[in-house]
Amino acid sequence: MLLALLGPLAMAGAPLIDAGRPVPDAPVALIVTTPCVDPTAWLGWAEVLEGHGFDAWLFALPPRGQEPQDAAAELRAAADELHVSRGPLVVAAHGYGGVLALMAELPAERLALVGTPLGPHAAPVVAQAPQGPVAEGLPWPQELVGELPGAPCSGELARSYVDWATIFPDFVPPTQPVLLLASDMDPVAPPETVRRPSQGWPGRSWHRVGIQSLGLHDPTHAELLLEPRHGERVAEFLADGS
Amino acid sequence: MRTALAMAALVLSGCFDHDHAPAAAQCDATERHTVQTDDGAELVLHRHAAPAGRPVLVIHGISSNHHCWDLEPGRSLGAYLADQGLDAWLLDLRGHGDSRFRVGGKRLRSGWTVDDYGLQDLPAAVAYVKRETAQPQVALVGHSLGGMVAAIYASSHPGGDGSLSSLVAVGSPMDFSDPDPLLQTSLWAARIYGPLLPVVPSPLAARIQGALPGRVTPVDDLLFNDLSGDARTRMYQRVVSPLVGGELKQFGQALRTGSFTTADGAIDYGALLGRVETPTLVIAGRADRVAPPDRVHAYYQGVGAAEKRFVIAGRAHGFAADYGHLDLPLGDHAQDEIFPLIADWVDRPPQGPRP
Repeated sequence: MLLALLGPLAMAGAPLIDAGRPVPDAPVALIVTTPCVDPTAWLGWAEVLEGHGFDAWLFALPPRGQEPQDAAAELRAAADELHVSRGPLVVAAHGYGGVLALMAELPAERLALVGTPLGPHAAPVVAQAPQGPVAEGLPWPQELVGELPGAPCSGELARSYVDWATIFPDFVPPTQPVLLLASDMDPVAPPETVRRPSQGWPGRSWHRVGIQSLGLHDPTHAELLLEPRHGERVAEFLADGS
Repeated sequence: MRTALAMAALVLSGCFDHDHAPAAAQCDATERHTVQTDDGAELVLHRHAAPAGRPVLVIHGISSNHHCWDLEPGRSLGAYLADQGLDAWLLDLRGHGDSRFRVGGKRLRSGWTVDDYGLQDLPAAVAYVKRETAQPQVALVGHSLGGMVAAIYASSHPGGDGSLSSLVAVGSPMDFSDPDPLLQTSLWAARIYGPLLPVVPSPLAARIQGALPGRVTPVDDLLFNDLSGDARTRMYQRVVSPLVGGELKQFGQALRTGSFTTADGAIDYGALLGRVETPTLVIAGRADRVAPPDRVHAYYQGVGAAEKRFVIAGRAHGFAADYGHLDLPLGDHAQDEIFPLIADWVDRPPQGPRP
């Protein structure tokens, strides 16, 4: 079902899916979203990225069994495989997928982190730690994150997300150009967990979306992924760094 | 007869202004005190008296006045603190509300900066409250600019920190780096209006805004998120005071440099926060578009006190609403959620001597 939805080409040995239509000669844009989010939510970004001349690939983990370090290692292996076979790549990440991308130290020319926290929350937040080996969706109330379609995911990973609100995993600050998109109304990655922890990064581009940027409303975590204009902003940055 | 009953009800509810006839259904301070600063300002303090209680000096924000903390019954930190047995003194900074600035007998409507609030107005007000109450220390509560002014006083005025039993900063930014487009627009306006206009007639603009239906302009979205219709109108009528060119220039400078500095740019107040050893509570509103939590968090991070706390008033943190800038002192849930936080923090005995 998943493959039928997303495209026919899965890379052997790696949790990678070529989204949409294959574009063999185009530069690769790797999409990394939070495990626990239904893959249909990624399709909008895939379309936009293809519209900007990329061949979009998706990273998809199986729904059980990964500790964050294992998931990051799998992501790194998949990206290396793409890099070797297809050349330089760029990465678009949403939510905790961005944390995995940072932990993996991906060989990306440019990196867009959308709704990705970079440090622990400044004050405790509401989240329900899931029990058991498989979690159903993100551990946040839907009324706070927005209508983001959930999917079964590794219980270990989902529990990590709750823990990361207070103790954040170590990562090496990226050296490539990075776009940071955050919204005041995103409880997963509110700006206090994004803007200040990234101060001092080279090539960092900060963008608070919503009313502070003269928009009409502050998007939720879900809307950061689902509203086309945010995908456009990501694609423009990945295409030319602007 | 109806008037007499209304007067009786107001007196019984503790809502009687000694100097002024009470406006219907409004709960102004119970006592009015006048304080002189060394440089000629005539400040007014509005006291919700609880004479045996610990004194709390409450400061409003930019382009505001004491009504920001005392709009009406149910939206009055002053009344709430008094009900809790705390002695609340609501200050009008120079040029705001009932306070004036006179030089040589002539009233001036501009010609000062934010520095003067922290280095002239607060020292005079704190000294007055200490003297009147015979208490060695005062708690400070400031909204927005009021919290920043409290930081100036605590970190820069000799003896300031030692005069305080506790400090509460509500929606007070201390980090102006990475300016967002809205802030950039403000900077553009500050650059234009700062040199041109000694005073911006913001009360007139507020009354016009208040007369419009809600959400016709984006101003409401910028200022609040949880303020019901009638209170919105009264807020626009009562809370806004003129904006002074000196303030605008100083904030324009903050947006250019990323730091909150003295008007001459020589001293970074944020860097001095480490001197503040007074127990400090910092509150930010999740939907605050004037001072979003990431900009307020710098205040909390900078304070040197061993005892400090940072609270984000938002639904993800268990609050009933995502608080906007003016929701923090005035919102529909402020009395139930914000005022108790403040009262609990300031209700503490005087601190021991600090070096």
